[in-house]
Amino acid sequence: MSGDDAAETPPAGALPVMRKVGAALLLAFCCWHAVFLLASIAPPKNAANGKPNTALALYKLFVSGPQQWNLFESIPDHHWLDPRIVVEDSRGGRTTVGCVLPGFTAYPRPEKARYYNLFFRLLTNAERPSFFAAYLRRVEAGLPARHDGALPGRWELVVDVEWTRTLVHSRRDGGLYVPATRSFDVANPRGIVR
Amino acid sequence: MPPLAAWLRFPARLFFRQVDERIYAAVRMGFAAVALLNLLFLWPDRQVFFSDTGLIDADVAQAHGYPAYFSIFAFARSAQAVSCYLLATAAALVLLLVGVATRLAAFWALVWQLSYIARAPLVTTGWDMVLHVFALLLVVSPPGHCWSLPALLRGGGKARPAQVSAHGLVLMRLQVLVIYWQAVLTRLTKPEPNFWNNGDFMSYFLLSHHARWPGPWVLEFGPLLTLATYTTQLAELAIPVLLWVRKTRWWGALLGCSLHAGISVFTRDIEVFSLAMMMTYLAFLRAEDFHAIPDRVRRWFARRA
Repeated sequence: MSGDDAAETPPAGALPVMRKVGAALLLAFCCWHAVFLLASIAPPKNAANGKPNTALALYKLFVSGPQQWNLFESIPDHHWLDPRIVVEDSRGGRTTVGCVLPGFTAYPRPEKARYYNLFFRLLTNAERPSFFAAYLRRVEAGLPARHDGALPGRWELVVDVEWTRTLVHSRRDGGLYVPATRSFDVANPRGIVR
Repeated sequence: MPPLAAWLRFPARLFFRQVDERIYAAVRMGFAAVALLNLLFLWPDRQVFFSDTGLIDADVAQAHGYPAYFSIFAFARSAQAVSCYLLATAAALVLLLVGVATRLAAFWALVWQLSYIARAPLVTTGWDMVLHVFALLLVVSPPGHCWSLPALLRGGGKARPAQVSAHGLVLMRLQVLVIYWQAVLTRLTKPEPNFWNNGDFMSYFLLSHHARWPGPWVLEFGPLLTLATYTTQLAELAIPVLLWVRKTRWWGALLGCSLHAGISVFTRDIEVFSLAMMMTYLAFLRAEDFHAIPDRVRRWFARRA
């Protein structure tokens, strides 16, 4: 299996009892983990229907990792993502602040992969909406400090997106992307099309 | 047909055959270097991702931890504590790199991987998972003492490297196989529209936000990018097999490095992923490579001279 045969020497013969027990445990772990890895080659099925096994889930959490290697399985539909917070002042004017906490700093440019993952998952991950709700609450709680303790008007998280068009349409007229804008706040975590 | 006893001994022969400890040392040092680089890239954003004042709510992360929430960040919540934890981890990774307190440092690296993935699941990427699984395999592997600071200080550079059990390397090689093959199978079995199956993936990918140079030029290279889509799938199927077979392992390494270098050239900000995958190839080294590589380098320089 390994091709290392020429370099092999047989395992040491007589071992103390404790070392033998240790070696047996190590061998048992290696056999189990190797079988587990080989079984992981088949892509995992959607576990939505069945209750996950707790022991296996613990093993995946602490030892093996989830073994979900769906690298580049799907392509991002986005070409451009620009999240920011827009605050209305008392005179009806609008000011823009960054969406990154702490400090309401701007979404990084050039874009960083981890920030894209973060905001893409916050905005689209229907399985874990509580992260986004908590983020919106934090923004709501943090904004007054930037305005002398009281917010002058309403605020919203505005996200400009450019969606990639299908190749068929792009080849027909040369247009590559379609812009869209949604806004979110505590009362509208699913967003409103603008 | 071999007797039953021979079959029962097969796992022990497979996992406990003896290999050159320098292979483990190379993997350890490669892992530590990539994990340290990953940490350096995380450093500027540590408060955003991991502190209580940041963007990801700690209580929500804790509630989503299934079947358990395990993270040192449950205790290191303030800005200062987060910084201290990252600094301590950097120190542990340096120790791992130089081979001091190796097992403890590898365990610390594993706990670090578990901790930040649990604390900030929304920012995790593919290379975080690669580092996690290799951290665990380093914990259960022989440490490769021959290439370490203590061995160097003892003048052990001239000593003959020890022969150690191969179990860690076997599991690492299997892990690389799983990463590539599962990725390919996942794409092949993806429901329609399946851009990997119809060959459009590369065109869409090079128009996406991942791309370094998105633009209309992509539309002009449709057939070439279709070929690139299918070639990538074939390459990913072939890389672990080529790496594992003694005679073709260098072709496997060349193909894998070319693939990941290509990904790094055409995409933005996922260089650590390419480095993490290249690091895994070190597990496919053989004892003779430690003579062959310096010899080849020497001959190459001699020819140039």
